[in-house]
Amino acid sequence: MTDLAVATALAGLVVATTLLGLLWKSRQGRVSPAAGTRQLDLPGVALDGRTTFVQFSSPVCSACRSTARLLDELSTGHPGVGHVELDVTDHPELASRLNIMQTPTTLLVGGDGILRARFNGAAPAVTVREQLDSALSGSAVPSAGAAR
Amino acid sequence: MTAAGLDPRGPRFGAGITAALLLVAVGLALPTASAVPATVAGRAAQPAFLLAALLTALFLWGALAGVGRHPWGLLFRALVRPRLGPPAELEDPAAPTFAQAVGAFVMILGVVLHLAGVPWGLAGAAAAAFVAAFLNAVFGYCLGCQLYLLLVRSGLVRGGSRPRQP
Repeated sequence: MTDLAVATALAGLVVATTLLGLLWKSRQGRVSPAAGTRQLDLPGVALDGRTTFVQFSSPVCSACRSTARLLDELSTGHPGVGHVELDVTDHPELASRLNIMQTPTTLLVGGDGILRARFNGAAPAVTVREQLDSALSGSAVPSAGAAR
Repeated sequence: MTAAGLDPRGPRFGAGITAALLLVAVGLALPTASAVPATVAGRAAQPAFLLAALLTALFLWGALAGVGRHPWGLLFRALVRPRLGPPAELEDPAAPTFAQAVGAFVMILGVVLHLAGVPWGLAGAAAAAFVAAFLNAVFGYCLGCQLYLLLVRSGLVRGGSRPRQP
């Protein structure tokens, strides 16, 4: 392999990795559509009629902590809003059934047990607030696209 | 910095240094990647191998002693941290420590393949580790988190075997 070929390969590696990172970043915190009417089966999660953030975390996940802090703030500020954090280590079947591909993944579940929104990755606070407001007002979840 | 948490900028700073060194290792490994020296001694004397072995040792250090006691962690605390404002929040050391273990696993694989004379073994492993370290340093992406979830979902990691804080 010539020096030029090595330099080209290294540059290609850096560019490809950067593109991969940009793609990942653009998909972070995406809100998935949740127009279903089916009740979620979430064993061990007490909704108590409240709109609840069900956050899936793992002990090795750094972003889970900031997400938990945000959701704690939101649930403390709204009496009708709850926040439950589940460690995927303790709920592998649930993680598989709900196809959790990354932590944090957060489900916004209505008091009736119906999924209102799903946040894949650490979603920006403004997106989470938007979805919470929609869920609380009972209107259709507007944003099914990218968070930013 | 306290025992309960780590400045999250420390591991990303370390990942940046590691990514740069891994890119150098890939560059050193590429010229002879398809035609490695015939003898084990010849393969072990290559600069790419020596650098990869050093990086493997550093990953193991981070995985076993914890990222806070890793040389890059100490460098961050001595030189970088005093010039920065306080972090917005602290992170659990379990996450970056697990990432170091993943890096060590990949690099050990590369080093062993190279010593066994497998073409592209070292360049491939160093490139894979570079991708993970670069994504972590630049974008804050955590490959270890993704792998951990896959291990949990496949049943290989169970409730009693989660990584402990160092």
